[in-house]
Amino acid sequence: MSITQAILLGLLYYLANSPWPFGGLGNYAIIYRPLVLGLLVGIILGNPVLGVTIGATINLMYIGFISAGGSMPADMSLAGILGTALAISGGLEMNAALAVAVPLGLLGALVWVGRLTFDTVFVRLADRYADEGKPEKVWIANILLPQLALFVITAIPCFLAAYYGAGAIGNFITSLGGDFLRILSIIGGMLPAVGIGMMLMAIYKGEARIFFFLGFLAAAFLGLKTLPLGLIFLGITILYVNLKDRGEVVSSQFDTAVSSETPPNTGKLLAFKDVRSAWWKWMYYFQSCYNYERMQGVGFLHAMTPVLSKLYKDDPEEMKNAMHRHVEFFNTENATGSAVIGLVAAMEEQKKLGADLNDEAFTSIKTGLMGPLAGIGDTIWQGVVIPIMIVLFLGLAKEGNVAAPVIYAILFYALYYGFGYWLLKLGYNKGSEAILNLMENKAINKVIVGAGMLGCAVMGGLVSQFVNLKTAITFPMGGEKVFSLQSDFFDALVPGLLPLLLTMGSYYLLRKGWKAQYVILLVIAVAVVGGLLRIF
Amino acid sequence: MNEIVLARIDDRLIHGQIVTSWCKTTNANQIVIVDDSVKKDQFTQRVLKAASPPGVKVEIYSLEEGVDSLMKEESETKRTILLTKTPEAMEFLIDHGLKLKRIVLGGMGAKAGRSQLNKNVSVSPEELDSLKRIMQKGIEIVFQLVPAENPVNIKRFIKGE
Repeated sequence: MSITQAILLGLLYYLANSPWPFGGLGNYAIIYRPLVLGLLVGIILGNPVLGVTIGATINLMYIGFISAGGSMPADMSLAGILGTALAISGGLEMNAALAVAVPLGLLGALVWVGRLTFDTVFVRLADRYADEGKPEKVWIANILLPQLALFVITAIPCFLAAYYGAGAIGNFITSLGGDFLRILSIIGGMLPAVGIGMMLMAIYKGEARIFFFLGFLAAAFLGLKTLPLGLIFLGITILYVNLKDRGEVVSSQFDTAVSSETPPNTGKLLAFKDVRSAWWKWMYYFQSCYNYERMQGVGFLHAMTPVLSKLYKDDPEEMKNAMHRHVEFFNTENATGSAVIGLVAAMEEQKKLGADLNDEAFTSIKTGLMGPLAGIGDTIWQGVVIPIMIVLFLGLAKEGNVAAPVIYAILFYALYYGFGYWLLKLGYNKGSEAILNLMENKAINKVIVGAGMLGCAVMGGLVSQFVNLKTAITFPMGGEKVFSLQSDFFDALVPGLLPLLLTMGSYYLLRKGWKAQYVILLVIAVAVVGGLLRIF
Repeated sequence: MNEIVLARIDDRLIHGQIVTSWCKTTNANQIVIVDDSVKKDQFTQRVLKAASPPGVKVEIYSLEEGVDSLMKEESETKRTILLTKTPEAMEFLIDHGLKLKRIVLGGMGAKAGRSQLNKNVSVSPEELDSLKRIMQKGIEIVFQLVPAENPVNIKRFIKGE
């Protein structure tokens, strides 16, 4: 690997964790994912097709991955970058690269903890800007300093690891020889079962369970690939969910006036472009200065600055008050949080027009909405949309299709920002009642249930494509004849039966409360023992 | 039977960690929120009820109602996640006879009057005293954001314990 390539990989790792180029959560859904990173690393190292294939394999380990409310179980971006680099520059076989990438991901989670810890320092600075009533300076506390610090703890270690590590680790592992490589490859073939098991934790329930097996059978017997399989099951799911829910009536249990309700906005002090500018800042930099003390507090203040600058430019006292009330603790999901941005902008506008809204009114609406909106938003995006869209394109990517990650990225970006923009307008124009009505509308739950079924079907299909486990046991049948347990029994009965059993076994342990890392260790142990005894 | 599968102090009540992780691993079918201020706030009640995941019912009680409802004999099996915003509310329930072995401390955000206990939890002096009193009753209190994290006993973070 040349020094330029290693520098680019370091830069890529920083970008994956930064707000650029797709925005805070846009990046997290797009270039933080090994599916997309595989392509980019492949381009940097001169083998995009191999890169996409490896990226897809590594990504499957993280398909059921959710980072909610500031928790981060592993860093899939580091696993994606270094794992792909190991395979391309280090010459490791794909499954072996996966087996090495997973521990790297656990190591990368330290970066997350480090970042949320030191970002607390910049909160003091944001507080000071609020004391001074200087909204134009907030970007220094929200973007400049935290991003510089993030650059130091991401780009440099990744550059060093790639430059000195990829070739060396690859050579070292290769030098250990045949049996070691063979077992590493068995491990890498089995591990995706744990990734699928983790995803099943979220969606494998009720009737969706049948969809899982249907998906598996469709792939195993009919040889259907993920995209056609997904499209067919999309149709089936829509039919099923609609037939099932016919006649169900949902009514609100409350009809009294609500205490924190805000009326529809009639103000004319702000132009919609001010609100839109607040929204872009929110979408891009909401988590730029993410920290344990206030979480997205500084990001929220930064987002509100275009609105505050317009409303309170001639009122320094109220500017200070307003900045203080928006730098408070805040934590929600990015796209659904757009509704709060719109709503709070409208409330500030009404306050300026003379409405009786004190600090407490703002705090209560923000804190009241942030949790529940995150519950809905995390479920929709991290629990449903991201994994299912990725799963639909994983199969294509694994076959080396370089367009798969690109199409995924474009579709996701359009969908995510479209939804956020719509919520922003709803919050700004229609007020809190409209947001509530939307949340109470059980259509969202219907989509979640339906998506779970579709997800189960596609995950079933992925079992036979991604999980590799074959037994090497044979019985001499006298003379030249040999009975192979794999080809004469399992393949004849149900192709992919062992991968299916392995996946269900992993799921069962996770369901029983085993932590993912222990299930991974167990699978590795089974692979090592089975490999040494020549069972696999 | 009413089994409390998780008792948690968390000032955001229902949010991403609860919906995407805790509800799933505990297999809960009910979330009970005990908080006097939420009980008075219709807006927040509606928001919280709307945020419940499919198959999970949300009940919101005042402190007094919470005692009655949690201690009541149930004919059907309920697997309950109990949420309060503050240690004091949890202490009130315990003092009125609720049996708990372990309380999980989720997020308590930093604000004026609170100082940081660990990464995600800040407490006021009164809240800290309440936590200490609960621990003296032999109930274990741990930090744990999500089930995938290892629980950490808060004793380590409290001086003089």
